[in-house]
Amino acid sequence: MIIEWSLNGRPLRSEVSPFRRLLDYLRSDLKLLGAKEGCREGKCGACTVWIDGQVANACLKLMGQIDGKEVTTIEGLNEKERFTPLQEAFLTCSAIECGFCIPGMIMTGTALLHQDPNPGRLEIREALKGHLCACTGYQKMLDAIEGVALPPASEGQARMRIRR
Amino acid sequence: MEFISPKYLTEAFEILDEKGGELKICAGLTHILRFYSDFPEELSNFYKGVLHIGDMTPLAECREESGRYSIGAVTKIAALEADAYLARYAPSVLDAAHSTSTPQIRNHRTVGGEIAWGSYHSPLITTFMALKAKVRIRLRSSRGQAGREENIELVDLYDGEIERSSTGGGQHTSRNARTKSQDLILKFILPSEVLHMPGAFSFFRALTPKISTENSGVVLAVSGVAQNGVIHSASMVASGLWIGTLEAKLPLEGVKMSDAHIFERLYAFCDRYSFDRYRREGPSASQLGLVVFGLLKEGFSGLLGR
Amino acid sequence: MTISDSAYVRRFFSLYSQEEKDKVRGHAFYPTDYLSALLPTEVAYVGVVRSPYAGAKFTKIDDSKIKDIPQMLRVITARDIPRNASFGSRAALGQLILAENQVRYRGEPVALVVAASPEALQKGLKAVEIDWEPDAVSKNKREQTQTFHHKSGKAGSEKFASISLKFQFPSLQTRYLESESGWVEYHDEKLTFHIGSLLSESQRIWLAQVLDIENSKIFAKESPLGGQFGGRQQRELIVFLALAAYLTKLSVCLHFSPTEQDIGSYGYQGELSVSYDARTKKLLELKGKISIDAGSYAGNAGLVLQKTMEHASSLYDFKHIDLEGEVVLTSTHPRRSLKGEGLTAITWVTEQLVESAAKALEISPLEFRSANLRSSGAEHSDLVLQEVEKLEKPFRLLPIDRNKPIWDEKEIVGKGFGFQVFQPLTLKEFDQSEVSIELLHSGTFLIRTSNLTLDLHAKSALCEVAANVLHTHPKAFTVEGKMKEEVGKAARRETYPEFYYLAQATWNAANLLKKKLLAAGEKALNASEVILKEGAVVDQGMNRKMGYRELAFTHADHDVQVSFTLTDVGQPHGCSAGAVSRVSFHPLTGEMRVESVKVVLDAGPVFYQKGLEIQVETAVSWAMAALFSSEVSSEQPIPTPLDGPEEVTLFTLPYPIKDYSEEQPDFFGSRGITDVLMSVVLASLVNAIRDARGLELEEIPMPLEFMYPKKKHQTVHMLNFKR
Repeated sequence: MIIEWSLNGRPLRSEVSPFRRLLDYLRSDLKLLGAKEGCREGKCGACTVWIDGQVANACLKLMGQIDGKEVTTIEGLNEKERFTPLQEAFLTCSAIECGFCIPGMIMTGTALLHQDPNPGRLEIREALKGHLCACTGYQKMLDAIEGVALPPASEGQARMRIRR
Repeated sequence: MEFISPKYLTEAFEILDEKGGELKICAGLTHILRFYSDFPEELSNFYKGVLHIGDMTPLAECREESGRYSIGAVTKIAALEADAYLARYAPSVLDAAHSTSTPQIRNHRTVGGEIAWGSYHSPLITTFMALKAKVRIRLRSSRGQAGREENIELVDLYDGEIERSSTGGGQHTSRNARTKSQDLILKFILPSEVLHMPGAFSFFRALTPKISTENSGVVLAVSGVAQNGVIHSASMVASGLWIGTLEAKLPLEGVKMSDAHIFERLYAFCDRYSFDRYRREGPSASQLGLVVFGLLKEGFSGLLGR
Repeated sequence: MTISDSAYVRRFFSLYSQEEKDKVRGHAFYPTDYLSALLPTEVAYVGVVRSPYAGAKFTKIDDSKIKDIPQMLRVITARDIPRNASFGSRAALGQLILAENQVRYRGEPVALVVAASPEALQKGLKAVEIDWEPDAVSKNKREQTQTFHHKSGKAGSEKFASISLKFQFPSLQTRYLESESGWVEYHDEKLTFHIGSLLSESQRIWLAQVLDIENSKIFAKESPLGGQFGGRQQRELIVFLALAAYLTKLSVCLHFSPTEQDIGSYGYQGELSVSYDARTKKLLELKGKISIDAGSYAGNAGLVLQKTMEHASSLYDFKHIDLEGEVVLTSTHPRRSLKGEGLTAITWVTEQLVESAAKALEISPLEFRSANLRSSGAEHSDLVLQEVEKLEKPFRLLPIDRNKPIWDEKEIVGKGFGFQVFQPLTLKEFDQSEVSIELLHSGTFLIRTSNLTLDLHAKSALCEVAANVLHTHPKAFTVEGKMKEEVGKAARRETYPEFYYLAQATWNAANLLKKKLLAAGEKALNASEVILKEGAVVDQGMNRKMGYRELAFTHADHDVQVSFTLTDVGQPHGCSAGAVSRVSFHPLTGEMRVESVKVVLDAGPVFYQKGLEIQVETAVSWAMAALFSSEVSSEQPIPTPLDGPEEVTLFTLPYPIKDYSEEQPDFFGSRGITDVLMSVVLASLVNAIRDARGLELEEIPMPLEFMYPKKKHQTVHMLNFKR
């Protein structure tokens, strides 16, 4: 089946079985390895991508459902010469350990901040409900997203809230 | 296996009439792909193809029609959270939608898919039942005749249970939707007498599972009418992992809308109710009674502005 | 650090390591990524035929049908293995790599299938036929294998008050997100593993024995692009890859599905009792019985049980300890340690008993603990207790007002304390820690360690140590693992690197490199004496300096690389921790919130605070998983961000390490931090829940019946109905 879709801003025309899972297609065929396979059940969030700007589990999407859609992966979010404010916040807050869950967290955190530039800590927790991390206990990730949510001290910089 | 993804209703109806019996109707696929890791092979003994209706915008419309509110079957659950009409007239639906699964799932699961799968822990099914929702279904065509549409009460959509098994060893028991393979759920209708009655109220509450991606033990929805500070009627629907569908009228008729009276009555009601008839698993029946009372208390406290 | 962040960024443009940058961009590669996209083309696929029965014999494995399947390569059974050894050297009757004629658990490996494509592999797995004779009796057997006795002190003759508690802590079934997978490259009779991390020396030696080849034929490589999963290795993965590659002479890859994961921690049950003197308010005796369920094969269970029995007395000075232990085998998947050497959850039992004793004596739990601390080996524990007291003054919960209707109770709050001290034994054997440091032309440094690959925060801590000695910025260092060419006999089975020793080796290596940098600097600046300062060699007399980058670049012929092997180790510093947790329950729905967890930790000198914070936060998450997993239908009870708690705070005892660039600190952190944190947090949560619910918690995960309120009879005072 021919699927016409857009990936990270580029229009694509792919010949692929409509029953191929989006996650498998991204990883095995397109070699975009940012979205990870953690559970294949839509529980861990490691495969989170955007479809038409909204977070989705790539492991629960068939290519047949992607026709006409715009898909964004972590590779599409990356900026060339620098990090996005949220990526920078994750680095500054030392919110990364093994890193397996991070691309998914970044996708969801960025989508949340687009929708609500000033989410409270509970809203951030609810937005990240679909993510699992076995390494860190989440506090620093929440700090990172909350830190970015504050108004920037100067243009282009995320201000970190100092927590004791 | 075939994958058919029509864009227009007439197209979908034609396909259904012609070979609907061989096709599995799918929308968001979030339930199916989670449960059947080898989809579509796992269902290939039963179906020759998939009819994907998830992109059919005519089936995703939500609008008011003569005082009733219709919600298209392929409306995404996340869309309900942002619906202004529901926020005003049926806030329990918003809460139920927000309580469903995770944000990723809500963005892509359809209301019709949620209802059709029939999980006992589904917040939306419970809430729609409490609001006396109807389901509009297009039935499969019979010889020489186009398919006809009919409205049925949501509670009548289900008949017994269905046990689904996957090759990975997964087991899932849920309500069995009576729709046949060529029947198509078109929309859900919330009746005007529930939404627009002066003094109408509704709420939704659920137990938060401890590991929060798991499913709720008890979900509860209440709807009723109160005028001049007195409750005219109130009823609840409770279900969840631990309770099968429990519908009950709450003994609040003529009760003043104030703490002591309401909670007294509700406590006595839950104390005496035989939850063991509905208990599926989990805590004991008497504990379930206290849990249900706790959720009712929380809900009514919210209505009273406490 | 001795160079500011901005100065470092000015020189090197980025404050972040390549590994961190890769991870946040989704560019870090893990073993499953190799399998998705990065394998070389000529790789075979190996899969495992497993027993569908728990407890069964078999006489024949029939692989005659595989010859009809295109791209099938071979089937490997027990008799093909040069030495079909057992997993783990300590067990007398260990699980063999492939079963020879009987199995004990469902899922036990029986044969390997190797094919040239994944599709052929799936067909091949189904084509192997085995004539099973299930043994229904052994399926339900519970067999005692080893017994132990831990005794100290003398029993008194008087009878004193005592309290006891039965407990049960079944296996925690969980796994990390990434499935176990990897591949091994076969070239020129050498095997190079790509499983995300290195092999330990003892694993290399074991594999060499199994295959009957030389140690030097076995290597492993870390992920080359900065991302790796931190040293977690599944024993089946490495030996199956090794066998498949060695016997087919091909590179092979293996991916375990989630249902094949080797998961499940040891389960415990038993009963403990403490007795105390009400007059002197002293703890007297600790007695009891502890059983450990090892699953089908004992593995390390005996050792873990002995450690558990030692931990049971925690930091308290019991006059008499008398504990019996047994290792029990059941026909389930063999269990293993979780979060260190076994989940030393026994502490939560002891802590509940100590709390009960304090309550019976009507003195504050903290005061009671302080008065009963061990006289030796627990000096810092007293400090920990004092700090905890500052955090949380003891308080009494207000009793439930029985005159109020039940629906007026807002929430029930509980507060609990947990403590543990980890006193490591003197090591008889020690797997050497080798660290090398090299100054690269870029002006940055490469630290290499031959121990298993470290997680990101352990690496960061080593960078802090080296940066301090070499007067530069921690981000100037990258840490990598590289296996040694020559392998001696590994003295100890080390499955995870001890940061403690690696830090010591790093300090020594950095100190050696410092001497070389000074010599190179003197030559470069033609000076008689230079010092190291802010990433440069400096001739203070002439006010000249040369940065490390320029030094490396212009003096490329200089030897600016060192290696240090730590062979002699002293007594490592033990770790003490106290935690205070606060939880709240809805009185009716039982909905529970973990409001806050505060931990006071004596971890010795702290080289990297953030790493410890993450360890505490993870310990809270895992403790919650251990408590709440009864509600979970799948095997993965990992809490989500919504599960809380709201607040996790770490306080570390201050150690005046100051500047250790010239003089080695007395010790580098502590051993056993991960174990202690998990147990202490778990104990504090259990005590808090017990405090709130007023009930003894005999079992974790908490049974559902425990979480929700029991029916209240006359304790509810109901208003009269108005009719």
